[in-house]
Amino acid sequence: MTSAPANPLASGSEPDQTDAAPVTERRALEGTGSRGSRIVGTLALISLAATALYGLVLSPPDANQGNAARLLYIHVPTATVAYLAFGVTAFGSAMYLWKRTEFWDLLAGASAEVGVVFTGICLLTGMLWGRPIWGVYWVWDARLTTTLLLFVLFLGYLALRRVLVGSPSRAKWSAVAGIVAAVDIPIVHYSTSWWNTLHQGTTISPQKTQMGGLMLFTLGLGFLSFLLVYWWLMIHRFRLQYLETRLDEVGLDTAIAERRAEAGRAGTSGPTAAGPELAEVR
Amino acid sequence: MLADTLNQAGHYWTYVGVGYGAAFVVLSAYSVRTVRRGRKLSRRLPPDQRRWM
Repeated sequence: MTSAPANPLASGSEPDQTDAAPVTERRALEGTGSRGSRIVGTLALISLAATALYGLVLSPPDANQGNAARLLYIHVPTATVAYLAFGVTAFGSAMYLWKRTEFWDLLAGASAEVGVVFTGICLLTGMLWGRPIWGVYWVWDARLTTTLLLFVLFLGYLALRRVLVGSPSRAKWSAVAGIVAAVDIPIVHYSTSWWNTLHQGTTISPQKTQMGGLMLFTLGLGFLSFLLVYWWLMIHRFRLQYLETRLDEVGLDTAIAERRAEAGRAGTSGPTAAGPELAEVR
Repeated sequence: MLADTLNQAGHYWTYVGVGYGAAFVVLSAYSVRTVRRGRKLSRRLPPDQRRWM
């Protein structure tokens, strides 16, 4: 890393080619976006708009729950995508422990953060749905409690990653934590079968589907749109995590070079004796 | 007052509106934060270290 052409941490250290480029061209060179991410992002926006249109306007109100059931089109897809996100974290963690390559660690970390966002939305929409139907925002029901536990476990996972920044064992311990936290996913999923809960059981399964027509279509659209949003967020979050790691490394290398330069200055009397290390830092 | 009237009538539009609004606000805020932070950090690394470009 010390072989980098310039210290990228220094302010105003953008490469020469971007300094000379026009503003629009420079913006295209910056950031975590790419042609592929822009296509996924556009599709996600279109499908989200369609979900809102169908969920709020075109789909009929439920016979029992009225318009409150419209929250289904956000609540269930976000819960499912959160399962997927934490599943990806567990898979990435296991792969890291096996292969020990940076890619799997970055994948696990990025997916956990996106999963926490989706779990937060799931909990929020669930509370807003529970108030008119159950009469309360929250009950310590098995499904709600295990979902909250999942949320807290992955917040802890993210906190662990932050605490161990710069530590060589961060990826290893994060991977262990990611796998342990993911044990809660099947517990959340089967909680309505294993315990008597206020939360309703499975509505859609290969054996039985208690929903039809436009409502089922809207729910499918919700799944598609939140999957696309997850995909888009993952592209950006993964690249952001990659940038953060590279900058951490550069920062560490710079600190080591500065320390060596200080030691060189302390050990010799003349500035020329500091050698190439000092010249590199300057 | 209007919310109470609508909710008592069994429409529950307030909860639905807040639920949809909160979901889209949270997702938008997180997306904007991620993209802006990516732009900020990528300025500090040369393009050859951003392999997706």
